[in-house]
Amino acid sequence: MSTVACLLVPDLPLAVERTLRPAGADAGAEALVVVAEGRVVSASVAAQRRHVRPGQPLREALARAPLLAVAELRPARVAREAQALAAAFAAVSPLVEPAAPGEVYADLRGTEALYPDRQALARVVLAAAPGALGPQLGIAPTRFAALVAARRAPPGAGCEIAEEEQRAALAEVPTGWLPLPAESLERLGRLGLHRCGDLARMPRHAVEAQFGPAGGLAWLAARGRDPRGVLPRPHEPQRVVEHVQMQPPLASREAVVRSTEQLLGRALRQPHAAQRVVRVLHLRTESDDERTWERTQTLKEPTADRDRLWTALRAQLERAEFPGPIARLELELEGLGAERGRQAGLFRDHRRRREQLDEMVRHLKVRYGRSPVGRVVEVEPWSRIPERRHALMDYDP
Amino acid sequence: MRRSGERMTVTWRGREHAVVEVQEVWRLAEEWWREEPLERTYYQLLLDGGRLLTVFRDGRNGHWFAHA
Repeated sequence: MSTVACLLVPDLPLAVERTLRPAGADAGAEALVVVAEGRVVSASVAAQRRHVRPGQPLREALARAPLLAVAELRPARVAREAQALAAAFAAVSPLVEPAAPGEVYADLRGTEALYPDRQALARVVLAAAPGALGPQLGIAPTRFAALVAARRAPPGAGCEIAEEEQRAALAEVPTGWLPLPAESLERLGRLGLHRCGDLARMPRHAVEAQFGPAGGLAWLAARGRDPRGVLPRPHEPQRVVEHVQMQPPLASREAVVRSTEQLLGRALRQPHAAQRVVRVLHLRTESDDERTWERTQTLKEPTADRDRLWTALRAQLERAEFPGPIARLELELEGLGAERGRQAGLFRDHRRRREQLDEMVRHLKVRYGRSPVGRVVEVEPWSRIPERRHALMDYDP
Repeated sequence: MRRSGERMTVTWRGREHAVVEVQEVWRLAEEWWREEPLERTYYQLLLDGGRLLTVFRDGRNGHWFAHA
């Protein structure tokens, strides 16, 4: 029998914003919205009572609630807190799935020997999670029931739904919590199916006829037979992360380029990176007002060569449009593997060699603005004048 | 290229090489319709290290060139 745990921070952007607001104010009662690019991303209960909804343009939200407190989304901070939630589960299980920001699942199979008492497990997870966000822990035999348990748990505490009480516990759950698209959830409401128990009483074929395979899955979930397991993120211990804080923030591109070059040097000097080839480069920046810029580059050919890695990174930096002066710069080397010789074919693979050459020339072109490589082309092989037989042309792949 | 006594030498890339044999000589006179027509005398030389070198003398100005 499987046991699934869910660690939930409902509306993570809003929860993050609340942790950063001055203490003393009645945080729960404040009509607060988090906005990004002029649209509401999250709205507090008080704001929703004033008919402010996520997805609304800010102008419309302000028209509905003129005394609305407005905060700009902090994507970098939200991403960090989401990672911290996943890391909290990693303390008890290797099978962790960050399903959405603020919603993490873990498969607890096999942890019974270490944590025979679920209370102890809950304490370990909640102690490792960022407490200020009020994370809620749910434990149940299925994924959907674990989410329901987490939603029922008070902030900073856990709730468990046992196998035998699952059906009854889910019967009263609003159908709006089911894993269905928003449009299907709205139709469920229009059909008068407001509780999971209402849906569970319907024949499966009738639900599938209306909502397709997703409807069948929701029907199973409502009956406590959610077939969805935990899809653990790939175990990736082979990574190296280096970051640097900048004070004052860097405003010039040249300074960013120099700092990144230093960062690469530091990352490659880490023991985990020594004598290893790198496949993926992640470069992240945060501006002073916590706006992020992020690029990932997967190298065609893993390499340990600092110059090749730097050429790839530099190309990214030269094309980058940063959101503002950079206060934090982070470089992650991923997909580290054992260094090995390049396997050559038994027969010479000219096409592959040509691809490698083209890739290098493209890097050079980014660096110098034009291709600095020439190519000898046969033009008049019949000419009696030797220098007319060949010409040097720009090699521009 | 210069001849000293019976010995013929050629100075190429800053070094003097003895010419063992002039293997072939041929003339090119082309593009007579252009303002600067081509007029060259080619020599294929066997140098003392066993290397073959093709040189030509430009008939318009008397300068020597080598085809490496």
